[in-house]
Amino acid sequence: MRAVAICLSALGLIVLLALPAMQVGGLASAEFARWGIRIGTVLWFATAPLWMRSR
Amino acid sequence: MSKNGEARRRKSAFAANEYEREPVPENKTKGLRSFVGLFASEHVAATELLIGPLFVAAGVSAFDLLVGLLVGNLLAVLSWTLLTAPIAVKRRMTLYYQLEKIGGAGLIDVYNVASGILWCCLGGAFIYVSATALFVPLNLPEPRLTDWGPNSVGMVGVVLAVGAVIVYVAAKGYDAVARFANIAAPWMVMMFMVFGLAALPELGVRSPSEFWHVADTVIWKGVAAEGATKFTFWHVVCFAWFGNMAWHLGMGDLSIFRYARKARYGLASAAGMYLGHYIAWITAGLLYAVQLQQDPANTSVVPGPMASRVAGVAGILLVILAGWTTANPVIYRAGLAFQAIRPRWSRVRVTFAAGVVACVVAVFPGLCNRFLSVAMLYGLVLMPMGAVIFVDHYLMKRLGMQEFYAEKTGKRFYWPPLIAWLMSLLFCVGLKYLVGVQEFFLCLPGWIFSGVIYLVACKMAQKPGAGEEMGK
Repeated sequence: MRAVAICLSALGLIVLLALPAMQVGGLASAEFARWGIRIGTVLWFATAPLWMRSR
Repeated sequence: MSKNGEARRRKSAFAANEYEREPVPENKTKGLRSFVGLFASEHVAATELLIGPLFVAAGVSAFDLLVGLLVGNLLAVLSWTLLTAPIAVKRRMTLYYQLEKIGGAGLIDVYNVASGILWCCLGGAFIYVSATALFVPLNLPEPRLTDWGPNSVGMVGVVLAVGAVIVYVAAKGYDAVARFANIAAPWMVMMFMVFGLAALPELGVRSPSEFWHVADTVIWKGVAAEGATKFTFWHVVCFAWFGNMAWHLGMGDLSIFRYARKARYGLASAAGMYLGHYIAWITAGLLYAVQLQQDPANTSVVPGPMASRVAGVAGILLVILAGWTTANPVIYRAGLAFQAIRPRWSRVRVTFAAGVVACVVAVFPGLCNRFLSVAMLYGLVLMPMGAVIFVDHYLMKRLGMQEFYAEKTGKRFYWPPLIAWLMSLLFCVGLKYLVGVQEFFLCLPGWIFSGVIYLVACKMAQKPGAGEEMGK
């Protein structure tokens, strides 16, 4: 369970950063990048407390 | 900037309230990774959202900013590594305990008053930053860069309401907020990078090769806004170096590095400097550039609307969290500093009182509009005591004098440190108002002057043989 939470947290940060980065490269629209920021933020705050508290 | 990860620190292994009056035992020391994590999280905070835009408003050029920050941050890292950490590792004591041994308990009272007042001002800046996040949903007018006072009743109401919540939590115990700050820290670091990535396309950067041209002609154009001091390369270097002066040359981080196994762990400060005081300052500046591009007449430095423009709701969330999670511990620390003077005072009531002062400060946007100068003032006021500790540690014995003189002679108040402090401040005031030296260049001369005055005063004050009996 902990490993899954860590993977999802990592995925959240990757999505958070990757989609805006794709926008810089012209591979994504601004709206697409905004969705990346939202999804990444929700993923992080939904999963990070599950494994960071038990550290 | 800032030392605003107290929440994180308080819950971490670097507990400031442990080993207050004894050296940290060797078996309680920490490895390098602990210091890297601590610095990386505590130097990415609310004030970065003010400093980055204020650099743009100060008309700094792209080269001066990007290279000046590299150099200034390197000097800050070297100050931690070569000056602060070696003393911390050798003595393994807090700043307060060392100052008490040098100047007596009376000196600590003066230091607590000074730091408590400065914590209140810093807390006010954090409350203001947090409150600006609500300017967007409430559609409040943004204060202009030249404004000193509030520009609407709504603004006063929002700032006081946000401040009241923050102060209440700080006074009643903010463990839950501290835990949440720990969880939010990695996300906050990433969000600052996101700000940069999301702002670049808005500014017309579609590939790395376009960056320099846009940086030089659109972002950092080298033209100062109305009422702002024009920044050069040396302003940037000195600001990056001395922005945290209270903590390196001022020795505030003795409390942290007393846990370090080796003095070279001071290099861990590079994580905080280059993530927080390089990347975060640059990306926060990009937010401001986007605002100026959309409306060149809008020179307001208001973090909430700036973050919202580029990152939407997540940007607003970052501004709230960055302000709140840093304001709480700062107000708590202000309360502790004042309470230490009279331990019988209620800690909760003193924290409330400090919080009220912070809220009043927060109502005035002028403090945040001039935050570059305020940050310098913060370092200036506290740094003379760092010079006193440095001289006491390295030079007293070599020059045939006693170190930790107040402790060895049983004095409650030993006057040379206070004289060095006051004369150093007078020297800096004189340099600023009589010679015209800007506040950004006062820190190093003031620090050296303080050390020299302390040496001379000790030579006059110390009686030969005094303290040696007690020292034995």
